[in-house]
Amino acid sequence: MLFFSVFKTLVGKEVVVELKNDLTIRGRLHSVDQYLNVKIEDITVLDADTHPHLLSVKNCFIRGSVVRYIHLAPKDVDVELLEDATRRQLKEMKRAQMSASS
Amino acid sequence: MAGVQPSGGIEEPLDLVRLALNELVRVRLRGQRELRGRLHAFDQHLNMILGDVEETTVSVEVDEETFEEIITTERRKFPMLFVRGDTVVLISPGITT
Amino acid sequence: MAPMLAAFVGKHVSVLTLDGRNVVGELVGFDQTHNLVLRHARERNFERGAAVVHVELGLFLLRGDNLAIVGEISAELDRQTQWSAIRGRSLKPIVH
Repeated sequence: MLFFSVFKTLVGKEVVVELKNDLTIRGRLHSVDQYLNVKIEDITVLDADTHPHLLSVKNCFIRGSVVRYIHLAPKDVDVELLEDATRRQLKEMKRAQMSASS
Repeated sequence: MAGVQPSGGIEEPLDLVRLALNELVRVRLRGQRELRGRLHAFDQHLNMILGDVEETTVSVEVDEETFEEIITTERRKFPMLFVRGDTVVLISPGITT
Repeated sequence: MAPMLAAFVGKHVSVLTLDGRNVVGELVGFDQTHNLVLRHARERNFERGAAVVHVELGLFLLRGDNLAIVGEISAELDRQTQWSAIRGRSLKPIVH
């Protein structure tokens, strides 16, 4: 759930979504769900000359499983907060495992 | 994994990654891709956020006439990158260069 | 939270599949596995250097496993796009 929370804080920010077919889409993050499916608004395809498929599309839903990268702006990300949240989530996972096995 | 150790030690694979937080790591992805960057976040799927990333992609093309293999290396840089875990093959911590 | 595709129902959409196909049509409905029902649908084929070719598909269900992207087509942007003059190339399939 860590990245679901992270992306929720990025709603309204500009992101670049790079897919596993090399298609690269820039736009504003509109929403995200727990599978990291995302909806992007006011999109532009970075290589639109060779990939005109989405020329008339303004908003789109992208399935999380086809995403390779999401490029973020460093100013939108607090790295210390991320590292703490990562450690905290790991601890919680271990505690859950311990109590399940005992 | 079995065995109780003091907290902070390495008990299971993800602990190795935890110790690499805020350190430089090398991440190998499917499709001859490799990333180097600073690890800021990850989860149990190995989804990650890396900072100051350099991506290296190696592609091999065969020349149609001479059948020679042409190896090209492409490099890209990203200031901050979310990487989806399902393409991750390995993570190695503690690179110095 | 409302499903993300709900906002696209009844709208004209452009769908990209994992194998790189592009289908446009009206989104009639969907379910939680992202199965889609499209009507008045046509497939748009982009071959390198050639004009766009449309193939009529009509009404059908697209299985969610094959879905990559659903884009809401803006009528305004679509009017401005001269599809007959567009030259693109086919998309690569999604490689996991």
